[in-house]
Amino acid sequence: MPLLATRNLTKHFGGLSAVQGLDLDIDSGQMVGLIGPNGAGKTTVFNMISGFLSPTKGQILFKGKDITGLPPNRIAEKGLVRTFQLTTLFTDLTVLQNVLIGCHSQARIGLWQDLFHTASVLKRERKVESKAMAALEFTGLSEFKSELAGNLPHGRQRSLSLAIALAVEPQMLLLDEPVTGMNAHETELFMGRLERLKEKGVTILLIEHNMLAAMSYCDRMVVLNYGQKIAEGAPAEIRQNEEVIKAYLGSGEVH
Amino acid sequence: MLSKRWKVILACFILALLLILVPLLLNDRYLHLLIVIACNIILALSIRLIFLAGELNVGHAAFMGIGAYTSALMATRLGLSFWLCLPTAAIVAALVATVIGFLALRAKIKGWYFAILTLAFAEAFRLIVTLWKGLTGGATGVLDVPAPYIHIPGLPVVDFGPKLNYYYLALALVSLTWVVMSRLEHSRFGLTLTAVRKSDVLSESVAINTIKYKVIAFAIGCAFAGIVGSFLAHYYYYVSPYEYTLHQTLYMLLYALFGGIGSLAGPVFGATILTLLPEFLRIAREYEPAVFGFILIITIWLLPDGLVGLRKYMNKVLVRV
Repeated sequence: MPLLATRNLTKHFGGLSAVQGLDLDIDSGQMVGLIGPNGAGKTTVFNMISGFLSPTKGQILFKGKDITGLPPNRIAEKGLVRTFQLTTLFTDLTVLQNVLIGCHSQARIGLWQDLFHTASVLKRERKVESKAMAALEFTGLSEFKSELAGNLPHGRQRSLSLAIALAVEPQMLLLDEPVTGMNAHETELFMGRLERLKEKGVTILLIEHNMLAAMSYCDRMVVLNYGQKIAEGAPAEIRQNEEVIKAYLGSGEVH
Repeated sequence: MLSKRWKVILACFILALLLILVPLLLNDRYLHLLIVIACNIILALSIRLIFLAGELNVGHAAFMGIGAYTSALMATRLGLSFWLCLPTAAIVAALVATVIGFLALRAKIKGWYFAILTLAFAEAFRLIVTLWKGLTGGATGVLDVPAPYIHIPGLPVVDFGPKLNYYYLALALVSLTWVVMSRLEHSRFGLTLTAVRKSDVLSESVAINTIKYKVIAFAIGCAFAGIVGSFLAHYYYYVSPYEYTLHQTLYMLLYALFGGIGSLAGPVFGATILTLLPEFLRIAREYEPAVFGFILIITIWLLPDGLVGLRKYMNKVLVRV
């Protein structure tokens, strides 16, 4: 059974069909790249899977259960966590606070305990903070924990996005162009971290424009064009695929 | 040298002593003023809590009215004790807020639309209490709301005829509000509210139920408005629809904004100063709204962080000098 599956997933915006009858199967423990030219519908797919958009038609299954139409917070709670294409952070909070917010689902005890500041709250906060620090350690941000998130350079902000998502303790990550705007060194570091996450058993689906990065790290790739899946397979197969070459080159865009 | 912690404790102790002892020397006029200040502080702090969740409650006065009418009707029609009416008023206001908040936010009514919705609710409340004469007494309101009293068998009855007793009750309520608000703000709940206010998209992506948190903040804020409503109903011995209007809400917002919405101390300073101000402008009574409007403009223009922000600004200037 695939960890994440979509069946006939379709989204129309008025007359425009952004995604058309998409069937995806993502197996547990894989890193899968979702690629395609601009406007192919990649982010729309993400928005539907993560609950920010409801599909016009079709089904989304996570761990075999139908999650279609659930609100985003319920989907994140189930262990399916996303990041955003445009860096989305709490810019005027500190790096640590950003990640602590990400720990929300493990930090809940209740309003009453918070109000009376019981011993269990203190214990919980200590536990949560060490978890947050672990996420910062992993993304190489622990020395910037007291810095305001908005003051970090772009590459580190992208890493912080990942740290926030990791704080939710995801079983599967949806990363929307995570290495955009990073230099080669930063990209390599970042992709290395994703590899390590994969080894820990986190399944990853990522949208990527940088074909080279995607090809060298992903186990499988799915190619979208005009909202439809035109190819699927190992990177080596995708590289040879006529349809894919046409989609990328035929459009006059070179990536 | 005392450590910082002890300094804070000592300052709190002295402040508490002053708040308890000084009123013993004051006459009724000043006691009344202190009571009104206490109520305005509670209102400003509670409207701020809702603001912290990212929503503007333009109907705060109506929730105060719900508390006032609940309490007044329970006391006059059912003859129930004030000590039962007060918590019930808070609960009723919170329940109404929960229903409205949940329905509105679930339908994705937020931001300016939420503000307009609460405004419409406040107007609806005013019309309902004015027109439903059988229950609320219409424009006349509910009269002869009894004063509270404490009767513990074996001890003399504490009667709330003298203003001093009301003052101590108001002081207790404002302290309760302060403790609850600061606990909430400096806990995980406060951090989550901040997250919800700054970005509900990112909050939802980390499994935060944004609607739930906004509704909780709205309900708690309105519960405190209900408490003030109940208190004032018994303090003034009557309630009428003219006390709970948009005008009142705007004053509450002004207290919070003028003092500075960024900290708990802001609304306390704002409410205190702006409640005292009209006392010194007695001759210009009819211009009061104009003066307050002017203060609002100046605040937004020159003091976006309120009075509390002024201190930070002064620090900066002093450092430069």
